[in-house]
Amino acid sequence: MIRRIATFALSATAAVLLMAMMGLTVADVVGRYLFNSPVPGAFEATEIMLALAIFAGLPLVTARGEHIQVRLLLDQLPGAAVWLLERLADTLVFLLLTGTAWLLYRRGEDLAAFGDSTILLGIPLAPVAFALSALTGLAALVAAVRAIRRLKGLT
Amino acid sequence: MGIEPWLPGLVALLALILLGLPIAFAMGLVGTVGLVVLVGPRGALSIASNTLFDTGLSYTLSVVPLFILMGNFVTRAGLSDKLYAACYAWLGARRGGLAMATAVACGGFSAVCGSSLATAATMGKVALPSMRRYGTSDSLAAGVIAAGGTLGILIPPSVILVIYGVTTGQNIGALFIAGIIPGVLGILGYMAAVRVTCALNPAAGPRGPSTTLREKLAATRGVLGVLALFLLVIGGIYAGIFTATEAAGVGAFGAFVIALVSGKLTLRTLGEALAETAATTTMMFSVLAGALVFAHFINLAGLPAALTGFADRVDWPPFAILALILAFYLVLGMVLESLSMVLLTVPIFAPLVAGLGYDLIWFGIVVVVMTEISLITPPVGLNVFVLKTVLPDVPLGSIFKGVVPFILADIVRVGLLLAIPGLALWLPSLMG
Repeated sequence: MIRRIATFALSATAAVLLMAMMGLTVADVVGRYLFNSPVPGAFEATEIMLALAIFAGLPLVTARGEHIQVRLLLDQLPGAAVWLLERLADTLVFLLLTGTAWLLYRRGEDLAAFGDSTILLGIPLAPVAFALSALTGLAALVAAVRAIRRLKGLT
Repeated sequence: MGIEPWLPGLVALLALILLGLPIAFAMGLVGTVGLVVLVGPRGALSIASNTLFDTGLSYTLSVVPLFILMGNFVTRAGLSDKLYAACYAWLGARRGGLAMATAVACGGFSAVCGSSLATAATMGKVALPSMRRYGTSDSLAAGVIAAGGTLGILIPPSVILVIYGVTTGQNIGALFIAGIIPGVLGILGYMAAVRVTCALNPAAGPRGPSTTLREKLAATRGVLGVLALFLLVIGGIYAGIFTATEAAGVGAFGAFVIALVSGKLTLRTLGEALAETAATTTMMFSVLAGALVFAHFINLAGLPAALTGFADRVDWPPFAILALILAFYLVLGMVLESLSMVLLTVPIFAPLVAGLGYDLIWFGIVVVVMTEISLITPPVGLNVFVLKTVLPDVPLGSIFKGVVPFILADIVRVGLLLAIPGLALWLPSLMG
């Protein structure tokens, strides 16, 4: 249940951000050529929406195990070895996502300390970094759940 | 001089990838560990965190999801069926005509879609049923779709060319324009491959029923939407009206409108198109971020410099070194998928190639054509596996067999590009 609501919320967020990026770019181009006035700060808004859209997709891609992987060798190995390697890979994915979330959190703290914001729109960057960190943290959680389920042979 | 740190780095990376760690994570892990060794934990973590944050917040890279979105809208608008119908109307009644029509339709679809896998999957669903109905052999049918699909990353827009442009600092618009003529050569080469196959084995590609002029014209009208979209996006870049990013936004919007008008866009399919775009984007950016961290490490560890030094020392003609690099791509392409291959190799080779005096726009096109070949060569020809899912009853071996004439056509194309760099560089030189 939680899983379905979260999946829907994240997909919807990414979807809205993508449509907004598209609309904003078009508005910017049309504004510049037809009305001689591009949308101020479209550039900055696009950057932030892109980052949020990518990281919103991270828990989804992680949950479905869709990260690009080479199975060439795995398909040749005996089952027990594959089992062991897959558990190791699951663990590493979890640890690396956790590390990434921590890095982005640290980045957020630095940005907050300096009070960095975008030049034209003045959007503060620290909350963006914290949001990316939270989404990555969620992906790490998803990776942990998936690793445990796979360990128990549930998925 | 001890052992250079990039060597264990590369070995560890290949080992982790082969042992099944997702590529993005393998590159990020080895890159970060390597940086810790080279510059200490503080510097390493700061490079890693900057890379992650800056890759996400990159205006140039917003072109990636927007072009993916454009392709997804176009697919859902059913343009692939219309494209195939139009190509069939003109070519279908010739010997091997259905297969030739497929090659051209794949090229047409590539002009609004930046991904090879999507092109192969989409055209597979459209063209296979009709090729089978009229008795085209399974191996020719599968071969032409797998090969035609590879055009997706060469004929603009192309996601791989965007990534190449970002990694090497080349103009993405110029790269797109440079891909046009080699892409058209690709279509012609694949048509020739079909003709040769049918000449050797006339049963492989029987003729389809012929069509009247009126039917031809009616079918052609169906592709005006695709044509208009391509002219808007690529023409806009060519004429200097749009940057690549703006073109992507406008193109996605145009495709959205076409999908709306086609009446096939419901809230459900809209949601699917967007969700699919988001997932593909995240997958690609994960690999990109990992690769950029790894590239930092490789650069600091001095691999590009070592290669340039090696090239100086051996004093071979530049052409010989280039041939060596291309051979390396052929081998690596058998193991890695296309995005990872480009991301892993380009930061290493681009400085060397530029140092030899080659143009990096031209090299980008050559790399993409080599990547196209890797998409259809065993054992990891991804396009072949995509087709296998569309065509479960055809053995993998016969698909790979069907692909052989197309690989030969590709090799001729690489040869032409090497001999006549103008094939890639002439159009960009005229850009506004």
